Amino acid sequence: MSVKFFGQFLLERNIIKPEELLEAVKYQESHNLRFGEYAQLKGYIAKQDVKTVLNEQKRTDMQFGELAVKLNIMTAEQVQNILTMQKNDHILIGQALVQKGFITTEILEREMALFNDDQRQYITGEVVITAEVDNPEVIKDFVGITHKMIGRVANIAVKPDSGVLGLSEPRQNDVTVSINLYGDLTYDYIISTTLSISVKLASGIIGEDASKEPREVIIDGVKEFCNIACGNIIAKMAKMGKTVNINPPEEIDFLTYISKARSKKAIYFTLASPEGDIDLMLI
Amino acid sequence: MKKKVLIVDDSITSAKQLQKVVDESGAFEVVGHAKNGIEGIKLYTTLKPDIVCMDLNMPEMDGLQAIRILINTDKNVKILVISSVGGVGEKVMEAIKHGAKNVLTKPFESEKIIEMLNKI
Repeated sequence: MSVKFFGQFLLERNIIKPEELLEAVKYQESHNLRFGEYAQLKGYIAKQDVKTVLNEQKRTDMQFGELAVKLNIMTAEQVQNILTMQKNDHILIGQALVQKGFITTEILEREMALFNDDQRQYITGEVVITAEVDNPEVIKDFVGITHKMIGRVANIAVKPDSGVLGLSEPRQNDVTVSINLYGDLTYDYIISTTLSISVKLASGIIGEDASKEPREVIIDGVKEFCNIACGNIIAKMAKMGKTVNINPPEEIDFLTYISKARSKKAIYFTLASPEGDIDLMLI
Repeated sequence: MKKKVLIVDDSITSAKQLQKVVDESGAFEVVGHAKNGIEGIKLYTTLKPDIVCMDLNMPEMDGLQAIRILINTDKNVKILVISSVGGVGEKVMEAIKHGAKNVLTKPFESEKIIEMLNKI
């Protein structure tokens, strides 16, 4: 039902217990050594050299190995050896669970196939973005996951366009909700739509018709939809090694929305459906 | 005797959905809804629920802080995290380290909730 990492998938399927996952992650962390620890273990460098490189790393944007070569602490060949050994020895969470005896290899293979099937729906390769944007792959995930979540939560089939940069006159909708994402990547994620689409989103969250609910509940439904979409988006980002957090969603007024839309960095998508459109803006 | 469930979630709609699923199960009943961690801790001490369903991303006090405080208050508290960020490995590990019994990602399936509540 959502973007997950493999350990979480196994937890939800009751294949492993939370304490087993904790223990396997601990084991994985102790096994998957960092570059400096590995180089030291292999006798290429001394403890003091690791400290020297780590200190130097604070001032420069270079990988440990690259910097160790620059400082004449390691040779390029030694760095390559460590990278190869590190890659060969690296274990994934599934292997850690097997090695700790929490699951068998057969279960790992079966569950991995099911996991890959489950997560295939969140591959967002089909989204096309023509606007020239930074981090196009991340933007594709924003659009692709929002698109899929609208279908999943509200059962509305939408078709995203290819996006435009900045917009002087954005469409005025009934409901506009914004969420701020922060960390390795920073974005404002804004959904703006009609009241009838908002009712559908709220109905999808509650699991029954929300058309008689007060406006407060309808707005809350759109907020929760944004929360769910962004939660799944940051789970996808985490798989790419990016740590991103989300703030609670808030409703914004049209004037705030216009000023955001006119920003040169705003990317504006329309997710069209016969029942009404959903505008998605990312800044 | 039905087991008492406390919902801690800032979303009214998510809480409504959860309440509907929990109450319809026949084995559990929702006894309260708190909209953030602070309210959650207060309601926990007055309502003494058997299980707490805890969101993570909430204003004023988030779920992780609330879990830490609840565990310090009552080491036997049973917490099931239900969150949109349940797919982020780091968040899941933090929640479990803090003492949550399990983690479920939003959007969730009704049967999954009841299955997890039964196993807690």
